[in-house]
Amino acid sequence: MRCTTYLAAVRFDLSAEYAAFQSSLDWAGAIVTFVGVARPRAVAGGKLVGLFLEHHPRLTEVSLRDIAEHAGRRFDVEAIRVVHRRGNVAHGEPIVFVATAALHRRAAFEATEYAMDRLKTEAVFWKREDAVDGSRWIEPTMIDHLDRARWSE
Amino acid sequence: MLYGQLGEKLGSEVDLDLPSGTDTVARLRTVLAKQFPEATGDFLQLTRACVADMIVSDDYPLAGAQGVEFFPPLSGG
Repeated sequence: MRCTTYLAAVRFDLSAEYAAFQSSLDWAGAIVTFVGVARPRAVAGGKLVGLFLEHHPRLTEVSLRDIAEHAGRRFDVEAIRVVHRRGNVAHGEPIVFVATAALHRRAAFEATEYAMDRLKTEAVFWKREDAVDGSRWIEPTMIDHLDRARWSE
Repeated sequence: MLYGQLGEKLGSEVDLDLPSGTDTVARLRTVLAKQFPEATGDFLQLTRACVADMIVSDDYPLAGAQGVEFFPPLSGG
């Protein structure tokens, strides 16, 4: 299982990420991708200037790797690629890119969902919304925790 | 080191002379909560402690620790 993860300090190119992922594949028959994008509106409704993703100097990359490797092993995928932004992210820019490839679609869908549900609650980031009417730190919602819990063994 | 909302409140790093007897994470939490009343809830309830890049429990002994990091709830994706 090929696992690639990295923490991007600046905006990354989704087409290039997909192309790099696809070109690495040998036997997969299904590819699933997910892109999380910074919204134009804050949770509270105000117009969003952007997000700030604070990261840990060491543990953020460790957490990305750990989540991606677990997703890949659990669902028997050929490859998984996770790219996550840090720093200031303007609305409309990608925050996270997850790609998985497996022999059949189900494993690829499930691996992608699993990875995203864990990234929302366990990736080592602290997320702040910077809106025109003020800033607010964001925490995982109850739904995020429930989404994560459904994968518990 | 402090992160997220807690870091914004108090700064990313605080350096304190700890009273004697501050020998576990739990006791450090109490000291910090008293020292920084605006962050009492953060230190006593909302954060996880991290020593040498490992999340540790409240009974973790501080002897030999170079520092303690406090993590508010994580939010990636």
